Amino acid sequence: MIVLRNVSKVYDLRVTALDDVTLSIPKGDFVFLVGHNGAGKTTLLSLLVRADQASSGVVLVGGQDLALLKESEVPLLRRRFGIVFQDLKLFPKKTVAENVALAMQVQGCTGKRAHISAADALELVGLQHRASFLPGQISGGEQRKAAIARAIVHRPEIFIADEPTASLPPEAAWEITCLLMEVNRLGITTLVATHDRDVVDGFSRRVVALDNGRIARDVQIGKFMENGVNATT
Amino acid sequence: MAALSYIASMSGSAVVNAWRHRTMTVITVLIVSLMMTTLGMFLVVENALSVMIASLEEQVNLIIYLEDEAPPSDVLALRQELLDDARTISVEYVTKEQALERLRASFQDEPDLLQPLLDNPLPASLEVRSDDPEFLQSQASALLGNPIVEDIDLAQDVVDNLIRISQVATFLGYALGAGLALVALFVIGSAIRLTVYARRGEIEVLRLMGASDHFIRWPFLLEGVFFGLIGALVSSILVGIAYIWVHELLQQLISFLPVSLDITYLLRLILILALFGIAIGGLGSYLSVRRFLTI
Ligand SMILES: Nc1ncnc2c1ncn2[C@@H]1O[C@H](COP(=O)(O)OP(=O)(O)OP(=O)(O)O)[C@@H](O)[C@H]1O
Ligand SMILES: [Mg+2]
Repeated sequence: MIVLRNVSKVYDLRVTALDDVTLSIPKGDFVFLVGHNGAGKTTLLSLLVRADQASSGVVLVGGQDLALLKESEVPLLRRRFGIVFQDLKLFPKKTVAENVALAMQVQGCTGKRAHISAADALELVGLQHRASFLPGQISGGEQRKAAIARAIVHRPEIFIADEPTASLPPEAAWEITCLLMEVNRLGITTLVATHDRDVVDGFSRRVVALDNGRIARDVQIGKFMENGVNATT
Repeated sequence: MAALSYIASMSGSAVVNAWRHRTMTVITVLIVSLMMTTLGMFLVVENALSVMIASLEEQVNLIIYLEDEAPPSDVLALRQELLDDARTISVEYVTKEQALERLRASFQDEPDLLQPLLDNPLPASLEVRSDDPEFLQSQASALLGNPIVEDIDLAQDVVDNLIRISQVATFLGYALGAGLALVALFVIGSAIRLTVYARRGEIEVLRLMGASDHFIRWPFLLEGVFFGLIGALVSSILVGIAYIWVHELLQQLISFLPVSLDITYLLRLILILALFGIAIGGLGSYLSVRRFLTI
């Protein structure tokens, strides 16, 4: 369960990235987070893993107030998440399998078991045949799958993906989104920030639209375009 | 097994890292090796000096020159009295004739010089050997008043000097060692700082994935230890060669005593260097990581 209560985030005392956001995401939910460039999607996600702290308001993850979290407890919070970064952040000098296994090692799991779990996760995303490749040697779509495998290998409570389909051709974007649905079916709360209107329109899921740091819409089973509010640029 | 393979893979990444920054690695290894070789050399010199001192201490003589008129029974009594003390190693009686013989022997090349000596002016003596300088010192002052004693010679100056030299050498060695250790710490720290900087992106990702400080620091500590161990290896070889060389020199210098090559000492020396390398490498990277790994 994720709860944001009157959350604001101000950068450098000038840029208001989030403005009085109140939002609640039940366990196991699937949410598209939409909004144009600079709307505050990445900022919202970064508050959840305490990569940043809210300027005001309350952020709760599983009932835990992140503002009260000690610095030493932050790693434990983050291990409950699986993150697909906007720029993926795969380790270029490690193979796909090593990248995925690393997420298990971070959890305190040792070499062999980490690699077994990694193989399972790669199979789940359909990338087992690329296990020994370097990230630079596989396609953009395959890189996303590798990043997804890395984010779910440790079966997190919450999965967040920042623009997982950006600059992918439609079929590839569709395939990736199907994968995200599959992740959600594992019982993992899933948050996906995206620009991609086709994707959002194609899957009837809850949509939270951000506009200039404010919540413009929160539609339970929704479409990207509604009431004439265009969330894309 | 799992822990081993983890350490193996981490060591592997330490080596890979070292290779990626070859120039820095070479400089670091050179300086660490230089520092540890200097330290090792001082240990070897200190050891050589202590071997020399020990062998010379055995020769410390309290020479009691006897009056020509001393009654033999008194001389024998004095000899027995000295021998009865546990601290005495030996007491040798040197007659006037033997003393002259020794003098002749030392002037072998110029026999003419001793020609005018018709009457033997040299006194008979008791040569006392002990490894306890204080005992000899106290005997020397006690015997000065003895009527059968003409003079006393406490031949301890050489040893005293050697001890002083060795103390100075040890002090210098440790001072220099400490200074060089600081330099090595700094250099290892800088090398680690460079890798931390080069890997800051990866570190940030690891942090976001929930990696603990411990997990992130491990590879850097290993890299530092790796530098220390290479330094230990290089310095062990150089110091080992130096030890064998110094040993030969000692053998020539103290030809009257067999100085055996002390393999245990050599192994201990290598162990000390290895431990020192691990300590310096670990500490250097630990300090650097603490300071610069704050992403
Ligand atoms: N570290 C930061 N320092 C200062 N300003 C920031 C920082 N991060 C984000 N911002 C600002 O906050 C606002 C929201 O940024 P954010 O990255 O959350 O947007 P976004 O919705 O993820 O956009 P995009 O779709 O381009 O990824 C932007 O105006 C951005 O410039
Ligand atoms: Mg963003």
